[in-house]
Amino acid sequence: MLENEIKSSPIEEIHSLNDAKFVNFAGWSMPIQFPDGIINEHISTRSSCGLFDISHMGQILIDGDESRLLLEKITPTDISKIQTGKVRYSFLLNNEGGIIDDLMITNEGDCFYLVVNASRINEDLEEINKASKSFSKINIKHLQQNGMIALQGPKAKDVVSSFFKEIDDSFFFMSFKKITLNGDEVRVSRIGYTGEDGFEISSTKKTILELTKFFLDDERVTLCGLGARDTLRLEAGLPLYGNELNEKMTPVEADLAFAISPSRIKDGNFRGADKILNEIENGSQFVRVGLLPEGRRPVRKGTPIFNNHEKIGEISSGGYGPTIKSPIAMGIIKSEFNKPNHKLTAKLGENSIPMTITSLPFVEHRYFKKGNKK
Amino acid sequence: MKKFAKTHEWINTENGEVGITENAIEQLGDIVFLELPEAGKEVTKDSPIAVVESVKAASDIYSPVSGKILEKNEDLENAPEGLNEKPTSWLFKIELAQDTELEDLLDEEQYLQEIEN
Repeated sequence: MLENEIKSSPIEEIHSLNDAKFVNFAGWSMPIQFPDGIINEHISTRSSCGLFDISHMGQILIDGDESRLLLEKITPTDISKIQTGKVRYSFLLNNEGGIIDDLMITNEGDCFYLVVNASRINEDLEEINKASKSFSKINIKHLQQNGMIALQGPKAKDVVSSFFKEIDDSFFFMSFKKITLNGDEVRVSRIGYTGEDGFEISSTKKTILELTKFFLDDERVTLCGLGARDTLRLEAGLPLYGNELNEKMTPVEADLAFAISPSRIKDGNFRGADKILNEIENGSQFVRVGLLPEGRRPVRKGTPIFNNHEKIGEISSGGYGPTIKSPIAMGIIKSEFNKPNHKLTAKLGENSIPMTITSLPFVEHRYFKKGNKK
Repeated sequence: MKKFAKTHEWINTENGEVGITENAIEQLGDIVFLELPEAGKEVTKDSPIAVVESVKAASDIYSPVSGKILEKNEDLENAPEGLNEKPTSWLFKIELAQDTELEDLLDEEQYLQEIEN
């Protein structure tokens, strides 16, 4: 009998030693939480530094003369504007302008480095390979052996620079550096999925294991699981593929049109441009919004949203925000009801929970950008 | 003496206090919401009568016996994290309709065996 192979992280032994509770996520066995709990991990990240295993994320290298053209074919990003050592948030679009995946694109100088969702790696590789057929001399490499960790929080910079002297105050949000350590390549990006300042670090299994051990010896660092990663990104108002994003939704509906390059909008030459440009001009039928439920009860993904007696959408992500100590949610609703402070209702069986449309994020982002006061 | 339901509730057979097991609380993780039945409510065995939500997920709590709710633990409803701090806390008290229903419940050893499997 064939078994579905569950992939395990290169640093699984560290999770086991720390009594992780494991969960199967997108074919990976990953820690959902450690014994002190999700709230503790969440608060520790916001106040100091959380360390997250994100080895499940897909990592792809694309090189060759025409790799810029390939990426411009499948994303709405002006790839020529990504300077060497810079990271850009983008989407893989289908021909209807729907989101195949959201991803980070880094210009490494001699190639492009893509970080994609674990749950979408197969679809992404299929799409990239298919699109690459119309270009010559393109190499696509899936970095399956790499591990990756994220360090997030106000102390993350001090923690990371205690190992990497190369990381200093000239290394801003959405920047990238490749560092050589014991002969291994280490990719360091100042990005994250928590709304905090932070870093994502990718390297070989051996080096990631060594780095993780070093960072966990630092008392400012708390080991965190996917549970806290989810509550942190929800407070930060960041979308999750499969919740806020799918192949039928456009970046405009996801309220992520900011990530479409102005020059691409002007030229109107990206996948689904007709539909997306019309949505930018006239609004989309549906839109992603932030919602604050009244009372203490969380509303969960899939809960229907009503305006009076009319069903106008669904909760896409919902839970409890440990920083603001109340339930928070995002939903996809008909755009005509998207008015600031408008009251809607979540229907939970016989219960109706009043909710107010609110601007995102729930907790302000604290990225390290040029011009920020230290 | 405590008796247990397979759905992870316990009842104190001497005073009718009902709670959920430490194992269930450990599985739920950080608890952020409790909705408990009002005093006076008539409940039947195995029907969902309370809700517990953790950061991760929502779960129903089932009545381990039939009877009438005498009191709910309002302190806990107002501060649900208290259940993580003291996992042996009771949630509500119930007046049993018929003592014989207790015989269907598990003793502690049987319950622990049940969750092992």
